[in-house]
Amino acid sequence: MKKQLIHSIVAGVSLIALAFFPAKADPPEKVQVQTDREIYIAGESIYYSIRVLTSDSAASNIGYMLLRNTGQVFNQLYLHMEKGKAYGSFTISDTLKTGYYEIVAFTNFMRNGGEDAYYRKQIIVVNRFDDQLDNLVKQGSDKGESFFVEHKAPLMIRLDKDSLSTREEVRLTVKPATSFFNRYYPVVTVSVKQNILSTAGIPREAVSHENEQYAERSDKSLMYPKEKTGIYLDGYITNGDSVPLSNECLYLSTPDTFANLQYAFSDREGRFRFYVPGYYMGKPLFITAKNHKDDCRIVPDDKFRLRSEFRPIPVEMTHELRKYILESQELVRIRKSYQINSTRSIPFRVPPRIPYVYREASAVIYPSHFTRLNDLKEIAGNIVPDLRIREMNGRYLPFMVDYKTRQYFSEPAVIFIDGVPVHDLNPYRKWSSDEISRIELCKAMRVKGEIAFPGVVAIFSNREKKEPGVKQGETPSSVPEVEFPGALSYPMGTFSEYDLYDPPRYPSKISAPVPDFRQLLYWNPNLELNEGSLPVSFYTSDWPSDYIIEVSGYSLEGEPFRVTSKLTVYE
Amino acid sequence: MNKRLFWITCFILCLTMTAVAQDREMKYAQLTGIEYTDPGLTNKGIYLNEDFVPGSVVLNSGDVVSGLYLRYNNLTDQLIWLTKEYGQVKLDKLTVTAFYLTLKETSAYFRQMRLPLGDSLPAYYQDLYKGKVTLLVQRKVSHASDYYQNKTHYSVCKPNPQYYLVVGNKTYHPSRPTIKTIYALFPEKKEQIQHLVRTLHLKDRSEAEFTEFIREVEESLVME
Repeated sequence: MKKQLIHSIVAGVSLIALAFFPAKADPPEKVQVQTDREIYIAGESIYYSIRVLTSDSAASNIGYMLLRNTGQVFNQLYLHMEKGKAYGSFTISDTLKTGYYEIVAFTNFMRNGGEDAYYRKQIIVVNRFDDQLDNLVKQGSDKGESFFVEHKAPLMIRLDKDSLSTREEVRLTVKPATSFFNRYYPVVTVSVKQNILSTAGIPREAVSHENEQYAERSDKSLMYPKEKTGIYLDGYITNGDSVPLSNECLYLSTPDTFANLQYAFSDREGRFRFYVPGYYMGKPLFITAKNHKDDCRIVPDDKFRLRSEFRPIPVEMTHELRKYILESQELVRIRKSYQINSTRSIPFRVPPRIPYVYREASAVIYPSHFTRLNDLKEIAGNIVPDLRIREMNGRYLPFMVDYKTRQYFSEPAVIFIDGVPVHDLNPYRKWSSDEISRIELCKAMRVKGEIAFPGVVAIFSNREKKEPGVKQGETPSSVPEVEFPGALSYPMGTFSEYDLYDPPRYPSKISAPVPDFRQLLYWNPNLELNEGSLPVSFYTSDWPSDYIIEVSGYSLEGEPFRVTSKLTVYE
Repeated sequence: MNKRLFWITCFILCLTMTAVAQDREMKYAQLTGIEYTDPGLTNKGIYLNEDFVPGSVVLNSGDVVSGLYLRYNNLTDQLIWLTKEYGQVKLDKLTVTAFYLTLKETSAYFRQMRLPLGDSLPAYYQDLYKGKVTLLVQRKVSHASDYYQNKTHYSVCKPNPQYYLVVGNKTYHPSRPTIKTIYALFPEKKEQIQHLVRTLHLKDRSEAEFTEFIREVEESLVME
């Protein structure tokens, strides 16, 4: 008997151990980014490819990239990756000042290792109208960080001709040795760009340092989980005295033509985490605390706000570099005046995973079908069956009849205004029939996951909504006209599209009237090598210069390699 | 001593379940439905499984939520979820495109579909066999009898399963799950099927035997 008791206890303790300690911890992740160039004129596009390197096959599918200088963040990108890889482009604002900028990239999982583990790369941006370039000389500190030394790889670039005229087809082949595939990822990036002779001193990526100790929450789970299907929006909630509020239920939603809601509970430290499915990307979000403590404070986490500083490494302004920059400014001015765009977007669709509260309402009432009524109380009393609005402690709350018992619920129903939950109908009391498009009711205890509502009243307005025209990679800047008092507004960016560099081709040799002064002749971030030679072809532009052909990629251990060749374009 | 052992084991298991519960919060968030009052007290035979069994649901988003306790109401063609906080919840049919139930140690798979037969509505069909042909069953029930006990009216339902056979892009509705019905539906292949029945000693005394029969003859059914 005693033996049986001991065996049971051992079995039970083992079960607990399995529950608390996962069998296998996630290995660390590392992100590598390649860009088409290192020097840009404001208004140009930066083409990039990003890869998550990990020994685990389940890499993060969501990445983040930002462009900043020493004082400000300018571009914030949400990247949706497939099998740990994505590529695209983003445009540098025309009005950016000349100076050193930094591209930073990371995943949510990498935040556990600290910002030192993030990928960082310094670039130079020059304003189109700045011919003094003073900022490039004055800025920068001597205490810059060291940068990667790139390795060679057993790979050859063969050109049919290394000297070509303008608008002539270039044919080259990339041939990896057999041993290449044992050590390197087979997908490489190929770029062909104007060669700047004095770029040897231009820093590339900064070395990243990962903390061995990953940040943990109080329950020993990692602070920042891997994002595979959607983004996690973290934050914390406190009362007016900055005391964390635990076990608070919070809602996340966006204005739409149906009631939608994600919920989260705060932990002992007042921290909450929402899962943000694809549906919410690019939309203005509203976060509300269910119990609506008027003095509560909700602070969402901003992944793009970095604690670490950017310390640029100054570059020696040689004559060649200055000449290249001044020429580039002129070429970009010409391209802008002809509105030449070499980018082709490949649309992709992220599964929206719409967080419905209900799919079919018990009843839908259209006030326009009835005589015009002046306010919400009149509307509820006259044309909305089984609903009463009562005033309680200064709030106007709806009470619904339970279809099963035919009695009013003792608790008020949850209210949605244009799809967003609110606590009180008071701000909307004066809405007349003209302002309400429809009212939907759910006359039952409605359950969503682990929360329940004693009925749902969803009121949709007729008010013209200002849909923020969110561009790829940008966050919405305006909010809809209907207000949601007590809710925290949080604009959510959208995923960047997969952009390809799509240069012109001249098969017929007939000159087109539009000048083609591209300095980037070719960019392909997704070239998959095989055992044989892989052909690549593109056309030269009208800009005679020396060009460098770069094939770059990574070893299986994450070390970058770069193999180059040259070609000349003459007039 | 056995009693003490039992309670200690239960206590330890409860601790374990609490420890993993915190991870489930996110995944249940997609499940929506309304509170459900069990009519099974006075309506007998309306459930496929009287007891809640472990199962998982496939949502229209493609996500699978597992670790649930489910029961299928044959009469209303609804899936009921047993929750910790709110008791029984009737899951929204528009959200649940398919579900699995663990019945007698096997996993039964049901999916929502609309069969191209007359004016059929979307309903849940169980996959009995899916190979070159598909054998489906709709677990309907029909009213059998009524009785009174202590002045309470009880209604009794009996199973009335409807079988469907999908061959290529055609759907057949055998009136009964028997070999003879298949002969009637495929008269041009009767000889071939008969040969297989004799050779392999195929029977149709139960649903399992009928499913086995379909599995063995599917090549003949599919052949032009």
